[in-house]
Amino acid sequence: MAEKQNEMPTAQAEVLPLVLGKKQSRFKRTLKECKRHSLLLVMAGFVLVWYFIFLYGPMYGLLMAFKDFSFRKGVFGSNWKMDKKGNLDLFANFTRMFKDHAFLRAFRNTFVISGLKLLIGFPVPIVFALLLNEIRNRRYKKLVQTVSYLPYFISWIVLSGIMRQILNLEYGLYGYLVRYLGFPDINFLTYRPTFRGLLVISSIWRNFGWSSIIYLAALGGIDGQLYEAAEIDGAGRWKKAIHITLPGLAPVIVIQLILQVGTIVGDDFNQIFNLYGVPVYEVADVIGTYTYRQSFQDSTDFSYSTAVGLMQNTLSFVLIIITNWITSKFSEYGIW
Amino acid sequence: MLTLIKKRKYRSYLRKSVGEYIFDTLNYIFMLIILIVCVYPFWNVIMQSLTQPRDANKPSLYLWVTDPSLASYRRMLRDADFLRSFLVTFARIAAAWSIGIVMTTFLAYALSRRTLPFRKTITGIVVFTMFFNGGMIPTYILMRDLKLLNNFWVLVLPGLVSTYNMIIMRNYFMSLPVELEESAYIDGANDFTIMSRIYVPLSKPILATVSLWIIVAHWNSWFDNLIYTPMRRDLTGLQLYLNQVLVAGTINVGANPWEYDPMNPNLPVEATLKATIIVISTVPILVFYPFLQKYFVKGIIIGSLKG
Repeated sequence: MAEKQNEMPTAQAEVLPLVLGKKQSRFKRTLKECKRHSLLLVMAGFVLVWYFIFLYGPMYGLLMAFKDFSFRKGVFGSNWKMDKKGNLDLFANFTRMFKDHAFLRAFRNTFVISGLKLLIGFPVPIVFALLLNEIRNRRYKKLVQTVSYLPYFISWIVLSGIMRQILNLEYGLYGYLVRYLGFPDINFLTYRPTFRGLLVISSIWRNFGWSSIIYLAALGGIDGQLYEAAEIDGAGRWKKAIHITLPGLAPVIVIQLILQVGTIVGDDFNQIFNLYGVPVYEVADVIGTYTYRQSFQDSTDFSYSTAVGLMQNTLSFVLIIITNWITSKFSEYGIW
Repeated sequence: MLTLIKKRKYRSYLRKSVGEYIFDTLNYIFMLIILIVCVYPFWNVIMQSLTQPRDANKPSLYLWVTDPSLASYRRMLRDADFLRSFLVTFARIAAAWSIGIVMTTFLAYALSRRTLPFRKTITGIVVFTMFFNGGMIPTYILMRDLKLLNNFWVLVLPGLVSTYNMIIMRNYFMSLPVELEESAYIDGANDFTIMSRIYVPLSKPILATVSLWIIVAHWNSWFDNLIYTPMRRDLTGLQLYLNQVLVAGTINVGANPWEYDPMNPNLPVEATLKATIIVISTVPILVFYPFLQKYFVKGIIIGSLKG
């Protein structure tokens, strides 16, 4: 009994500050935590400085979109955009954009090419994952899987080089098919009607294996007991695929679809820049390549290019925020 | 007896129907086609690179080369520009990896601690950059204002931390038991010690994954090289060199014109030289890839789930 009485005050002494701590002002509590985690804050702060310089730093340059940028005067020194009469016309670059035939073409191409890639390319990894899942031989399955990821790690420059070697009419594989098997004598890299097809197919070829990982992981997560129960009920493989596998995969498919719709304003600059050429600008010039030429090749109109980039970034930002918001509503997938 | 009947009955469920046999066979063949489609382009280029100069300008299926020639390999492995571009790429990988992995770990660990003050604010600041950035021209102007143009470090500094990698690593740290931190804290260890002595050694798989992503990103990177270092030919990295030879055609590695010269039968020609360049620059990836690919896969699976 005496021992217990002795214990009581010490227990209170331990509990009391914790209770009082809750009553401490928020500021004081934060200060205390800062003190405890000062090292962590220093570590994070060190990296945050980098974020501010290299990722937030460029944002002051967005002012250029509303200015008449000159290298001599710099971003802040340059004059604001004026119209011919000398009145302030901050959005001149943006109104010019929507009167520019080449820009509108790039804008349209961006949506058409990304849309085609999504429409045709989206089901490919799903079908691939479903079929691969039906392969019983583990080694063979693993081999196919590993090899299918491989193209994803090769840069578009190298892939473009490989495609140029294969499609070359003089010495390439396709040249062989033309000469000996009567295939049409076409240089696909400059042939307008099929160029978008070439972009879509090569993009699917590079990405389908890699995109299938997420589906294969989801397939692995489906409870095996469901299949056993279905087997006892007399379901064949087709029935099992329809009634167990597909419903199990559905949430992942929906999320991937929504996330990919969010990236439709973006263009695959590395792919298109390394494959296209003047003859196919009409069908393949996208916002990214157009902006590049406007600033480093055909002209050096930095204000205008900044405006184009700002427009594209804002559009894709809005789309991604919307799609991410939708996915995080539905599931635990998503970025935050 | 009973068990025997049961067994037989159960086996009948597992027995394949004719339709299933056909499906399985077709499926195996289909996967074989996928294998060929993924591997053949690379095989094609390897065979092309080994072709004799006299045969190189005839189109072929390049299934096999009966009398291989190493002429274009001898030529390219002596090419100063080509070899230097490898050096530049190795240098930028070494610099970016060694600094980047430390910075990524610092931020990822800090953000993985739920008791970190201002955790949400910092996460917000960091994640925002995944969705919105200044864009090509404002970033170029910043590099110019920082006097980094035509400097080696412009290839390293802007890409030190990838937010995506950081989040993968943070999620991994968050999946480790928090009791490790608490008990070490009671023993008097500070945050840095806890991170470097306890959490980092437990996170080797994710460190490998992130390291690989950093290395691949820098191995494949070229656009920064194109726009930020226009006056420095000696800073041309591998991918930019490949772009200039294979795509833009601004560098000519062969004799001019690049045709077969009967007087000089061992002089490599355009087709084999380009194929050789592709092979040499892809070999490092092809060699290490089978051993490392599981780490890449691990990353995408961890990264797709939020902590």
